[in-house]
Amino acid sequence: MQPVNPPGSTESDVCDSVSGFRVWTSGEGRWHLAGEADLIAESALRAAMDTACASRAALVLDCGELNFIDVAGLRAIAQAALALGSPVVVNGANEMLRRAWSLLDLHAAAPNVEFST
Amino acid sequence: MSIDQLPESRSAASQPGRFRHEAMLYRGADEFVDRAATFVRDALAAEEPIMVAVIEPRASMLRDELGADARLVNFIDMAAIGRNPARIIPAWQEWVVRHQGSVHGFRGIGEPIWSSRSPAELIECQQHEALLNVAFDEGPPWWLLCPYDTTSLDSDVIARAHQTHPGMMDGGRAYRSASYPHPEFSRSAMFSAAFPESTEPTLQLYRTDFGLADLPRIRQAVATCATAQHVAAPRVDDLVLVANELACNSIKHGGGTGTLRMWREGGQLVCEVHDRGLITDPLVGRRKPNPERGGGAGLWIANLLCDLVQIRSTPQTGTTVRVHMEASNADPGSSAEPVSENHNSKA
Repeated sequence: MQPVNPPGSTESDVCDSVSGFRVWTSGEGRWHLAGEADLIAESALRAAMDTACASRAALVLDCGELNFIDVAGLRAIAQAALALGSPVVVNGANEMLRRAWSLLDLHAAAPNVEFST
Repeated sequence: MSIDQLPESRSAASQPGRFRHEAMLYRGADEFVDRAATFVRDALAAEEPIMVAVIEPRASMLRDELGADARLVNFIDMAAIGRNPARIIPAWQEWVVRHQGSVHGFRGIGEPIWSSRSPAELIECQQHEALLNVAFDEGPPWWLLCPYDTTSLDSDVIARAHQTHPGMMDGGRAYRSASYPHPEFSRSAMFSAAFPESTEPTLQLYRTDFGLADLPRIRQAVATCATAQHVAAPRVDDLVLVANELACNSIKHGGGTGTLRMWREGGQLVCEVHDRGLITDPLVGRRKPNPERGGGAGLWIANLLCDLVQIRSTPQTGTTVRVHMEASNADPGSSAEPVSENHNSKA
């Protein structure tokens, strides 16, 4: 399936290819997050999560190529999961993401999020 | 009451049926064990749950003295929880939430100050002691005893204990502190406290002004500097996360731009973010953030991940936040070298 870029997901021109944030879906509730999800990328991440939630289906977030995510980004994912209600699987999250998720107590806030390797 | 509902007002002193916050002066470990054990046994006899947060060897000595009763006491390691003193109030807050509905009272023993605390840590510990009153004065009644060893602590530290505790206990005698409340520990005064002067020359490793577009560059610079300063690998990522959050706070709440500096103070790497914003909540970073919304998450994360966090904020000077991370001296030859990319660009 052809990757589809949701509105606002274009790479930021201030970032190089390593730090630029990218988000796209490969269909069937599967979304890919890559690069660095910081304040510059927040609106793109939120827009993508809103689109993902609209489907009301189970969601898979592939974070294997996500090198950095800030607190607002983690909260955006938790909020989307909470709104969706159905199971959300986060694939390939690095140690930093998992640690920050725990420190913010997001397991309790969004219990339907499951981490997978 | 959850931590985000902590009251923001403050009463003049503790009253019966209110939070009772007392400093206990003791002379050496034997007297500590004697008095702490009495306090614990009184609590147990009154069916009042008690949590003890002290450092070794006093924790073990108290356990030995209590014998089988030690199992009825909730011990937590003050060396770990209080490494950054800003993490202590959230621990007590959890304790309060657990017991606030019970018919019996509940108690605690908390010793945040010991002789090897650095000057910077001491100031933050003393502010922590004062902030306990802000955090718990309006809440349910409970009794917190804070031991101070007069044989190993400076007289100035003991004087400050009088300024931050409404009540004192000395040699088994309880009395109201004449120097509480103290103007140096009012809400606004704490945010304008001076940073202690470094005892050794400090070498600035990095300095940059930043705006939104500079976030990726800042993260890269912090990672490079922390690695060069031998910060342990997982904590390099922690510092990057924290520095990014502090910079985001400047961008969102501090006028859109700020200045980030890094330098070394003894065995620690210090990262400072300064902006034109103003923080007024004295318990900022000590309230567990609402997971779904609201601010304070950046400073909460900073307190959880860093060894010390210093927050200063006045209308005249703006906001300055310094975070400290342990950095080893594994390779002193290279540790003194500034990071090569010493940008000073303006967003």
